[in-house]
Amino acid sequence: MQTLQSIVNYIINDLGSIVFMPMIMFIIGKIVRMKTKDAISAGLMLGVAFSCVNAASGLLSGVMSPTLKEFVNQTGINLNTLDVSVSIRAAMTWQWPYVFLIFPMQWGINFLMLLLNKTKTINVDMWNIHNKGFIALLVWHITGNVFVALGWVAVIIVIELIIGDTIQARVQELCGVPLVTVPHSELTLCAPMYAIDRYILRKIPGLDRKFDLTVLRQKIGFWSESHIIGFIVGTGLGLAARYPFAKALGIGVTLGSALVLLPMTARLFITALEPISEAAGEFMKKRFSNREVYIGLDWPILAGRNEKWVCDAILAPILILFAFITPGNRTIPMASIYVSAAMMTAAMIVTNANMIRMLILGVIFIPPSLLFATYVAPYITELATKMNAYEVLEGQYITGLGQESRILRWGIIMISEGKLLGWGILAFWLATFAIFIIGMRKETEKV
Amino acid sequence: MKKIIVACSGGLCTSETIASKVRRLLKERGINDVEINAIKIVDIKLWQKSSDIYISVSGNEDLKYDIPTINGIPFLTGVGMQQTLEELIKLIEAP
Repeated sequence: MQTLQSIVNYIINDLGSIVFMPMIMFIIGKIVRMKTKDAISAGLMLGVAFSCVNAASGLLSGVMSPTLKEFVNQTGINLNTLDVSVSIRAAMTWQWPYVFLIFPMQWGINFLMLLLNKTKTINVDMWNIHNKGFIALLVWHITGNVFVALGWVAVIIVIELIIGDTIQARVQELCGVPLVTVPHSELTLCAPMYAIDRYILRKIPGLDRKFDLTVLRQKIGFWSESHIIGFIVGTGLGLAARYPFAKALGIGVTLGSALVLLPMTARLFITALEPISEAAGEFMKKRFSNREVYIGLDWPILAGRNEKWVCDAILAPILILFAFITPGNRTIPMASIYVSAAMMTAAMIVTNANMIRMLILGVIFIPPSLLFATYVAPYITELATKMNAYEVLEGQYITGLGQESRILRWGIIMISEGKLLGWGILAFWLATFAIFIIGMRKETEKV
Repeated sequence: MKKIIVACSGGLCTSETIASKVRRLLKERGINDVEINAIKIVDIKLWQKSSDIYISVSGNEDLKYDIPTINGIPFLTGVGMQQTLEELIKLIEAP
């Protein structure tokens, strides 16, 4: 165990994941029977992805770190934690050598559950692996124990498949596509949301209004574009930091650039990894082709619904407000101002796209999201510094506001820290999860 | 050179998965003169002026765009994929 740890440390610190990970990628590529030429290309692409994300990350940290520092100095508002793009988390996750173990775990557990008829969902989405990889990375960083980290991954894999089965009917109702579902840990938020919605919100009369959303969404569209948000936030922060107007505008443009550039670079991870996912997916679909199965996809399939976008837009200024007034919060929303896609998607599933209840749920869950992001920031920052993914100045932190499964993850992180409260949070989440599974299935029972 | 855009929420995973797959499928059919970009849904307006075709991954997309739209979900599920591929090729080969 000790030797393995030192080998891993050697890889991360000395050899550099930029060399080692492509090698692992090549091996895995050959295992799933890629042509040698393609496997080399995929491996190299992984290394290229790291470099590109690091370059983009440098653009972001170069402008935001000093600006944020000055902002805190000038205003005295202690928001020293920047919510950064998920691309940076992706770069960290894919540098972690153990992340590749999640692939066989995901497919193995899924395969087993399908075989034993415990699930109908085939989860082939790549995003998912990254997602679980990140929580595993955090747990590993806190506990130093890779088995514990991967143990939680196994638990989450099973939970996701159950979520997939539970919401399939509602997903079909919402997006019109049959036999697909969204087995994602992003939707673990559905559990507490459902409990609140069912036992409190639905009892309040008058919350059932319909709105004409297409027009509204088109008007909002402009404001949600990456470069626009980047510009507004960057200039805003620059002005709050008492920089001269021209400099603030410059910061706005640079931030807009970073927000446009980062996803472009992070996408290269997918280009590299997609063939593996494809191979596994095809295998499973063929093996279970004689049964009714649900294909597990990521939440964008629900993104056609205007409700989600309009709610995100309305919640954006509320999020910023809460960032300032929530006691104990130190996170500045930036990359996830469109509050995490996932939060409104979870609300949409639970309320069946009832906008008013979605908004109420959003408001309820924003403070915990901010606090969780603040709580977990020190760990993320330590990892980012160690892995050269982002450069912060003294006393600054980075985090991800749009992180998936905030409540469940909070429990897991606290448990990893050895805090008893973690078990309490986990128990709470499990209780709401049980309510959610039972309640949802009854509601969407096909006649 | 036909320019295609695929959009998903983060512009990261789902859209790039489809983009990679479509690139591969088109290559198998000998169609190489295409540029496929994976973008964020919020940036579609930005990109549509310089693109020819949009592949959507959202079911029942309520918003209409200026360029022909194809439903990309079959590329993810495999159900109806050949048909959708033919549709896409037809759009690519149109003048």
